[in-house]
Amino acid sequence: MNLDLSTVMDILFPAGTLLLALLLILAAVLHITNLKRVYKLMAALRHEKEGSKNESKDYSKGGYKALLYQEMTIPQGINFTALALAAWIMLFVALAYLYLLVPTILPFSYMDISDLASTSGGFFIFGILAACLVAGVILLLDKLPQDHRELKLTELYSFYPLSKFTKKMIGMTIITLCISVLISAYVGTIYPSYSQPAELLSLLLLLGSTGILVMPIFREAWEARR
Amino acid sequence: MLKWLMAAILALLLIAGVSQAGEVLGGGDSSGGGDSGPSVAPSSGGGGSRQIDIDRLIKTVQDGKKSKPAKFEELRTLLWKDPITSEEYQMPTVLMKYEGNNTTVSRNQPLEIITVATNNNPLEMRRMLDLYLEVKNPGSDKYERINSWPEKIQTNEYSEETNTSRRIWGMLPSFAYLKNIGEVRVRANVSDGVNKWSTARYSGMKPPYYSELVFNVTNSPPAMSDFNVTPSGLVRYNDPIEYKADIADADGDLLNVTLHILDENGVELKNETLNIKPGAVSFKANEYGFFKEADGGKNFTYYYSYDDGIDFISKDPADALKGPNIRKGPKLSVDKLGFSSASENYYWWEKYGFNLRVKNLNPEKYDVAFTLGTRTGNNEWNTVETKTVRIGPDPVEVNFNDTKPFQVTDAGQTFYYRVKYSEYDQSGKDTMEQTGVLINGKIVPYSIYNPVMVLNLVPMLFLILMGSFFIERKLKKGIEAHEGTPGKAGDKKGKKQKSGGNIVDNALKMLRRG
Repeated sequence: MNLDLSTVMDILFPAGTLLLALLLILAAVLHITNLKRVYKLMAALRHEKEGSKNESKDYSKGGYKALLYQEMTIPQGINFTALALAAWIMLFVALAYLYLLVPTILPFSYMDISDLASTSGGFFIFGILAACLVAGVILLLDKLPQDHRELKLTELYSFYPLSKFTKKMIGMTIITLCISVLISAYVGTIYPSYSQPAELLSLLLLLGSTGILVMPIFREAWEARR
Repeated sequence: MLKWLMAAILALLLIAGVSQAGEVLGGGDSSGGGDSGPSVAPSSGGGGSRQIDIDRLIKTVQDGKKSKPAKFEELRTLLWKDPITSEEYQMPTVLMKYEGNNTTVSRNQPLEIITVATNNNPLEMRRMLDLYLEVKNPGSDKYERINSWPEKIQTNEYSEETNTSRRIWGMLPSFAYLKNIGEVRVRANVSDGVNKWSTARYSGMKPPYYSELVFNVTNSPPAMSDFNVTPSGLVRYNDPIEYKADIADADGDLLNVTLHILDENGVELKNETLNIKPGAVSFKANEYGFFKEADGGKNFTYYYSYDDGIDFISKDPADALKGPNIRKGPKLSVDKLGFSSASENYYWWEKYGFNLRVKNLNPEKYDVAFTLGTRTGNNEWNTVETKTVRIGPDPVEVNFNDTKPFQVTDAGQTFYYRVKYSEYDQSGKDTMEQTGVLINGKIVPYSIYNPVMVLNLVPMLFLILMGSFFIERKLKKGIEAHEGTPGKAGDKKGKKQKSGGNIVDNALKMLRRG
C-alpha cells in the first residue's frame, strides 16, 4: 500500500477534528453523568437513612440537588479558577482560529469577509469577537439555577479534586493554546495557500490542551467505574 | 321585418292548427311528410294535442329561405303585414343637436353630435326609425355615410313626457381624421319604413338644434421649442454631437421634421428628415455622418423645417441657431501600453505602474487628458488616475507610477487596464485596453512576523487573559470556593473593600488574589 505524505495529512486532519469533537462531547456527557451518579447515590442513601429513622425533611428535588452541589464544592483557589476560565475561553478562540479563519473543514470562513480580514486589525477583531461570543455563552450558562451547576463552565473544576500538578498543567494549556492560535494565524496569513503541517500542529496542540482540560472529568469517571 | 314575419307565422299556426302549419311550411300534407316538414313534437299521450318546437320551426323557415326561395317568397307574401298607415299619422321630427358654443373647431377637438327625434304619434301608430349620419368633408361634393348599419329608434324608446328620443353619434368624436381643413357639413338621413327624409329639409332652426351642422374645421399647426445642441462649446468632429428639440402638435399628427445644417456662409450643407410623433426630436451627428475631420475649426448653424401634412413651417427658428463649433485637435498615435508591478507576485495591495507612448500625427502641440482605469472579471471600470500631457509630434511616454488600483476583492482574478484619452487615436478610438495578469489570491497583506500581525495577536491574547481574570473577579467563583474556609476569605474581602489606588494597582491585585 503506497500512501504519500499528503494523503496521510489529508486523513489526519479530519481524524484529529473528529477526535477533538468526541473528546469534548464525551467530556460533557461524562461530567453530567458523574454528577448525576453522585446525586442518585446520595438520594438513595438519604432515603435509607430517613426510612430507618422515620424522619422526613422538606427538601424539594431541586433544593436538595443544589444543597448537594454546595456540599460537593471543592475550593480550587481564585487564581486557578481564573486561569481555568482563561484556558477554556482560549480553547474556543483557538478552535475558531483553526476552523473559521480559513476554510479547513467548513465551507465558509472569515476570509469570505475579505474586506475585514485584510485590514490591519482584522485578526484582532476576529479573535476578540470569538472570545466575546464564548464569554457571553459562559456568562449566560452561569445564570442557570443552582441545581444546574453541572452546566456551568465557571464551576467545572469545583466538583473534582485537583492536584497541584493538574492545576499547573491546566494553567500551562493557555500557553499551548496561544501557540495554536499563532500557528492558525500563520495559516490565515498565507491563505489561499495552505500549510498542512502547520494546521496539523495547531490541531495537535488543541487536542493536547483539550485533553488536559477535560482530564479531571475522565479520571473521575474512571475511578468511579473502578 | 323578420320579427313581423315570425309573429304572423306563430299567430297563423295557433289559429289554423298544427296540421295546417305543417302543410304551409313543409309544402306537404298534415302528416308532416315531405322533405322538409314542420318540426312538431308529438305529445306523449299520442293522438291528442301536439306541441310546437319553436326553434325547429324557425330553422325550417330559414332552411326554406335557402332551399326553396320561391316558396319562401310565397310565404312572405302571404304573411306580409303593411305598416300601420293612417291619415292621422304624423311624420316624426328629426333634428341635429350640437351644444358647443362655436362651430369653428380644431381637428382634434372632441365633439358631441346628437340627433333628436320627436314622435307625437300614439305608441301603436309609431314606426321604428332608421338613422344614418352623413358627413360632407372639405373639398368633397358628396355626403359620406358614417354608419354602415342604421341606428334604430324603437317605438317604445321615446320619453313619455316629451315624446323625444336621442342618439349621440360616438362614432364621430372629432375631425382628427381629416387630411384637409375647411367646411364640414353633418346631417342625418331618416327612414320610418315608409318615408325617407333628411334632417336638412327642416329650416329655421335655432341653436342648439340644427337641420344640418356646419363646422369650420381648423388645424393646429405643430410647433418646435427647446432647441439645443450637445455638447456645448468646442467639440471634436466625432464627439457624440446631438441636435435636440421638442415638437408639439395639438392634433397629435405624424410629423415630418427636417434638420438643416448650414456652413459659416449660411449655405446648406446637409439635411435629414425624421418622421415622428409629437415629442422629443433628436438627430445624432455620428449616426448621419454630419461632420468630418476636415470640419475642424469651423462653426456651423442649423434650423428646422416641419409639417403635419396640412401646415408646413419652412424655417424654425427664423434665424438659424449656432452650433456646433468644431475645434481643431491632434490626431494621436498611441502604442506600447504596458504595466509593471512592485514584485512578480502581483499581490492586490502592491503598487503598479502603467505607461503608454503617444505622439501627435499633426505638427501642432495639444494638451491631451489621459485617464487610467482598471477592472477585474466582469466588474465596472475603476478610474485610477487622470493626467494631462502636452502631446506634439515627438513621442511622449505617459506614465502612471505608484498606483494602487486593486482592492482585496480583486484577489485571485485577472485584471484588465485601459487608458482613455480626450482625443482620438490613429484607429479613430479614444481608448486603448490591455489584459493584465492574474492577481495573486493572497488576501492578508501581512506575514505572521509583520509588526501589524504582532500588534493584532499579542494584544488579542493579552486581552482575552485579562478578560478572563476580570470575569472571574466579577463572578467570584474562587471566593465562593473559599467560603468553606471561614476567616481567610473574609479577611481578604475586608482588605479588598479597603483597597483603592489606581487601575494598574487594581489589575495587579486582581492577578495576585487567591
